[in-house]
Amino acid sequence: MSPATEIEVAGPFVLSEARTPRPSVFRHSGFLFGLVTVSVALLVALFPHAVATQDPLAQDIGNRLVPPAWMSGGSPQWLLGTDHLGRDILSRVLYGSRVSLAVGLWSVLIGGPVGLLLGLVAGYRGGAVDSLVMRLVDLHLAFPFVLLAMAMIAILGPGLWKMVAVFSITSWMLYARTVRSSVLALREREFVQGAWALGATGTRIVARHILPNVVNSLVVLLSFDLARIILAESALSFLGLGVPPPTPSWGGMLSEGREYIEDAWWIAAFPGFAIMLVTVGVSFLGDGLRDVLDPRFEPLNDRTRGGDVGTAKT
Amino acid sequence: MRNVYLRQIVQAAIVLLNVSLVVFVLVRIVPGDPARLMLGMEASEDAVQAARVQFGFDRPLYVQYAQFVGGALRGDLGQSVRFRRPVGDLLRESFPATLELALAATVIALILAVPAGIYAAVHRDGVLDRLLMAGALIGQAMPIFWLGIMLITLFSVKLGWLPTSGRGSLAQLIMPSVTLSTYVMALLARLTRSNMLDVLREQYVRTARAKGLRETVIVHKHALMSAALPIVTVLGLQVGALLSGAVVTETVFNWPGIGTLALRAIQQRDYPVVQGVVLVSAALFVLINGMVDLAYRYLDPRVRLT
Repeated sequence: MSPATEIEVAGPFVLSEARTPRPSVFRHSGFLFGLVTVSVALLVALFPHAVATQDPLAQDIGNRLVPPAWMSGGSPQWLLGTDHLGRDILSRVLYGSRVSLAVGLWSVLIGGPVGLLLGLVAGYRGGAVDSLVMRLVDLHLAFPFVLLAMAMIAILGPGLWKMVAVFSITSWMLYARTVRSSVLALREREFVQGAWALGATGTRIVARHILPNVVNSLVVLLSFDLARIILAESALSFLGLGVPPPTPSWGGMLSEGREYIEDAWWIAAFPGFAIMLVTVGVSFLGDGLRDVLDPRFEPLNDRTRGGDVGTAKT
Repeated sequence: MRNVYLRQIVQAAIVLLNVSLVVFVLVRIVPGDPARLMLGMEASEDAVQAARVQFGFDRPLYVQYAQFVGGALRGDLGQSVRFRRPVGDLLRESFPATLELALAATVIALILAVPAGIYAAVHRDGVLDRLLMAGALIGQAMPIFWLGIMLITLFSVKLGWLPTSGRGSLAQLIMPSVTLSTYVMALLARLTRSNMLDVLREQYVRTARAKGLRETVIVHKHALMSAALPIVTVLGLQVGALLSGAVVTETVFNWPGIGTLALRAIQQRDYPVVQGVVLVSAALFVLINGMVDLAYRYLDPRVRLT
């Protein structure tokens, strides 16, 4: 083979690789599914009155425990049937999205920036903030999460904002931990070292060089965590520690439905499907964001990779 | 080597001391008088005063904390307000039920998830791989208490095959343990698959193939051995999730474990019991993860050498 042919072969290959654009999010079917599901859920949560056919609180004792429309005894007036007080299940499921999404989104929106800030400081500066953050993370890892949340709710009392408080307080540590470990790795990279050698200040290095490289994986982490918080919220509501009745919440509806499983399985079944749909949608959104924004991200704990095994390294 | 053990024990002790501090503070930041909250509004002022003295709320906070830690070290976690019995006794009665449930769930998860993950990795992108992974995704997205309720609807109400609740017989263990195992099962299946995929690309697997070993030997002896390590660690880390899951699972099936105990204690503001449950659960978690680290050292020659 002549050298010329080799160049010819190598040439276009390098060029085409350099020209390969970032994979478009809109070619990613999982991401699209997640995006559509989450957008629909958000719209429903923002404007439930636009889609719900009935008042979710209106009781109609004469029409209690009506089965879904397609079963015998069902009526198109109540597509998914009615509960033990004759309330329309469909409308309650639609309105119930508000609690799950509000708690999930607010917890992530509060915990995210706090975790980001503390993770940046802990990773870049080290010192007292670092040891404090890491001790809190150790502590957090030692608590069975739902038990801790239950204990906190028991003390604060139930309510939407109290759940947001509990979830933000417990979740920022995980975000800080992830951000910190990325910062530790980034700090040693050439472009950061270079900026430092050129005399850039710490704030400038963090803001211009480190932050942009951390934000993507944080967004991915937050989207996975949103699914976890929505599930945890439904568990707390199921245990009667969530938003007090009669406000419809998916976990609360499940708990009411549990009392009537002998006669009316539909009360518990449909809020469960709603939780699953939203959680799967959020996870797909997270998967898609990861593939596009941060291909190296690994949502599992770094210990699972066998890299950092406690004290074993030293 | 001994140094390593010592350090691990010290670390565990520090974490537990912090846990006890958090639990202690948590119970004491309750707005209002804890003694009054525990006894209720109807109780007489004398009774409240007596409770204040009995539970030590009248003493300075640091004395209360020292007494709490000192008592816990001697195995004395105080008195339950509602049951008028030592918290330690209540925990001793409830823990076996939760352990039984968690153990059964772990065994079910391991038996089903590891082979599923191996199969999915070996037959990557096959129909069954896609089905298994879709199932795992749903398993992780599903509220397990909902699964529990649906299982009851199907197997107890419609088919009448299994009892709805309670503990004692094997039939009563089936649905709660399957319910609790779902999340861990889904996680393990995905993890086994991704680890097997990584390991099957390794040089030594290629060498084994080049030597002409049978594929089953390669997969089960060479690949699985090293893919198994992270599974052990993840199982250790899932103890917290298992305990949390046990709380809701026990509620669904009226299973008399610590979850049921904790929920009742929280509803009745029985703070000494809440304290005890959280402290003992955290201790269990730290203990199991310590053992996982040691197991790791034993299983992984690379770690053992260092």
